[in-house]
Amino acid sequence: MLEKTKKFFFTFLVILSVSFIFKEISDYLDRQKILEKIKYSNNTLENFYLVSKADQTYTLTGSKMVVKGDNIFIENPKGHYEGEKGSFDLKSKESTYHTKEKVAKFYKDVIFTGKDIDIKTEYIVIDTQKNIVYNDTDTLIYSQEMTTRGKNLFLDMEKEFLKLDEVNSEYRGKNG
Amino acid sequence: QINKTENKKEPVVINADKLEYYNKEKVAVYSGNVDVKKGNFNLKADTVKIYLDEKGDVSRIYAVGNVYFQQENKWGKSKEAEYYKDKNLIILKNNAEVHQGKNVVEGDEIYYYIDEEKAVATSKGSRVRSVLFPKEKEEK
Repeated sequence: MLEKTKKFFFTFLVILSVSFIFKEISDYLDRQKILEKIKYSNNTLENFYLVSKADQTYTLTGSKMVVKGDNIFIENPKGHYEGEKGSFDLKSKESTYHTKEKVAKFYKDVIFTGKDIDIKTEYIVIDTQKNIVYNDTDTLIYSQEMTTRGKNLFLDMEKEFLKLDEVNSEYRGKNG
Repeated sequence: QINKTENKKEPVVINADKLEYYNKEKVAVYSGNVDVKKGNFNLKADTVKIYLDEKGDVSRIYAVGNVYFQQENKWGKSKEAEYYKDKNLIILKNNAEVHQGKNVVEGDEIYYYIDEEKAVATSKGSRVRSVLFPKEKEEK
């Protein structure tokens, strides 16, 4: 009889602690309101967080993603890339990804932050198949040693080649 | 009158129609109405190549096509020119001339030392030519 009581008491204890743990987790989720943020209705996903992990890692967050046919519209996109060639961050107010052409457009307060160089502009197009970046507007490129202003940016990421028109550069050097 | 030490610290400022930057070679090529300024030194040319060192500093500048430079009352011109930042030296090549007031020095190559404001002319084929005017005596 004693044996049965012991077993019963032990099982009861396990159930109690598991339910306590689950209660803690659900309280935590409530407090963080994580679940409430993620909403999905008529092709719209809010407060999303996408991660793509391979030999290189991409993460993309945004306040809203709307899928319309072959196009994906994103509000407040923040992209982060890490790979052998280093890492960079890219953010803007709005972005569109054309899934057919595999072309991404970022616009309004576009800021690209690389290892030792930053680029600011109002609009850029990234052709993910040709690995090129381009625009037809004013662009500011700056690092600790140099600042360059110009327009009509063209960047070939594979050839590590950049072109800019109507330029003004200032080379300050390390002790600049 | 900017003095020499201030001149050295001045940034290199470049304006041009186009910039092409080759990250692998760390070379920036400016073309079209290129105008380079560093303190009181100014260089103009059709095309200017900027070589950067590993710290991102300008180590050498190569200019080609209608090269013209000016530093206060001295100016010079040639078909090509090379500027070495560490020595603050510009080498004018190919029909080189340096002028100061009415005085002129001509040669195949002219080494112009910016800090000392000194010109050394050399020639391979033709001879070096210098025209130096004595300073007019002030009338008493």
